[in-house]
Amino acid sequence: MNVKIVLIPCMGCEKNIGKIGTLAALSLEKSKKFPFLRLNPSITQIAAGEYTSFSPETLIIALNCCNVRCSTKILNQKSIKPHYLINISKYLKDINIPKGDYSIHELLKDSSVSIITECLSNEIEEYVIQFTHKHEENSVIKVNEPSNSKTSFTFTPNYSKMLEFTFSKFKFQVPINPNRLFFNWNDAWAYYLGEGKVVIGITDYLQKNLSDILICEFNEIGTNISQFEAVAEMESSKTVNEVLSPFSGKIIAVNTKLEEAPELINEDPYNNGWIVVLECNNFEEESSELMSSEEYFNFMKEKIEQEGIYQ
Amino acid sequence: MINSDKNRIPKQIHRFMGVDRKDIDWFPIIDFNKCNNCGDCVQFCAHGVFNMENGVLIVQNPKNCVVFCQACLKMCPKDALIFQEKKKVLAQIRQIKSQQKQSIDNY
Ligand code: SF4
Ligand code: SF4
Repeated sequence: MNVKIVLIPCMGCEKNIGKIGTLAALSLEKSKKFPFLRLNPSITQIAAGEYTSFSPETLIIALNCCNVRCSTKILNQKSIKPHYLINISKYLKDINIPKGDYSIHELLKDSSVSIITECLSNEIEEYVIQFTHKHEENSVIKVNEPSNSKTSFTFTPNYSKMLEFTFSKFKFQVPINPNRLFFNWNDAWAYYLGEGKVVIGITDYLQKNLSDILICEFNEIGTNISQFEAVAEMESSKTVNEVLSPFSGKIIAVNTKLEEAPELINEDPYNNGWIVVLECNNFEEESSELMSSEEYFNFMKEKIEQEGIYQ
Repeated sequence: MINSDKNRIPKQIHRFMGVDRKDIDWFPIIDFNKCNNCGDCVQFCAHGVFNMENGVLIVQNPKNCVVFCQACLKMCPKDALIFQEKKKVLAQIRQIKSQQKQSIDNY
């Protein structure tokens, strides 16, 4: 595997898990399993310039050791978008991490280091295979464009007006369509297409609070969703969040563009950043429980005035 | 003016589906058999629900928890947080709503 990889561990010094993750990254580098893997410490003010000079083929992987996710956050501050995020805390369910004050040298002997190294190696390998696959596909010149077998769905909503609320340097928008738009208290919107079908997305307010969305994973087409259950999960440079469905029903389409470009949710949350289409079980009753644009606008305004924005 | 009309308008942010947030039983419960008091959830939740007390995790402000949010459960490395079933809570909310409606109708 000759893909150039830059792995950026969090260098967490406060917690043992941070040290163990960093040790695992070091031993992976030493093992030469990925000959072109380079380990970079988290960027500091001084070294930031170096990262912008990476060639576009270089894979930048942020390695977070706990859910504070320092590595992603620091990259975000420097406006560098990692290609892939690893959070090793997902491997910790069955591993015991030593408690108490241990030095790096003491932890080096701990069995958790080799287990995590293994997990890390597998995850990177899987990702690199995926990545090279995509690269090869793109470089093959397609003579016969394959006919689009997936039923493509284009979302062209009709908004009569945008309500706007300004708070410090931010402007929060809520569109209006009195008969078709509904909102829930978890900052998701639903746009009624007719025949019991709705398009679901997140509001401008939630999008701004999450800041740069890096991954959007949806539930599969065909999944049945209860009201307020998640239709998708998002990871941003700041946090993780679920998209909670305003309606119950079956997912009949997903916005596959978000796989490649999750930032569409940030750029255009009410149009191109739509997330899924749902065939509702009970549109009439459930829609009567939700908020209109004006109601959501007031709810959002109170929330911002009281809680501020998480920046 | 203390009793201005403005003060009497119920704050929407303390309500969920038209029901007072205080009446809704949605908040995390800590599974102390699994929790290792790492404190990640304290830093993670933006609503100040958790806190540490003498090195032990506590749910300090349960009713600050956003109804139907489970984000902290997703990120907890030990799967140590428990929530009520959404269905049950939704049924509870609907019941309170219908009671409210009845009492208004009877009035
Ligand atoms: S993140 Fe999980 S394990 Fe850590 S303190 Fe919170 S509940 Fe406990
Ligand atoms: S569910 Fe959400 S709001 Fe509630 S404690 Fe967890 S992160 Fe905080």
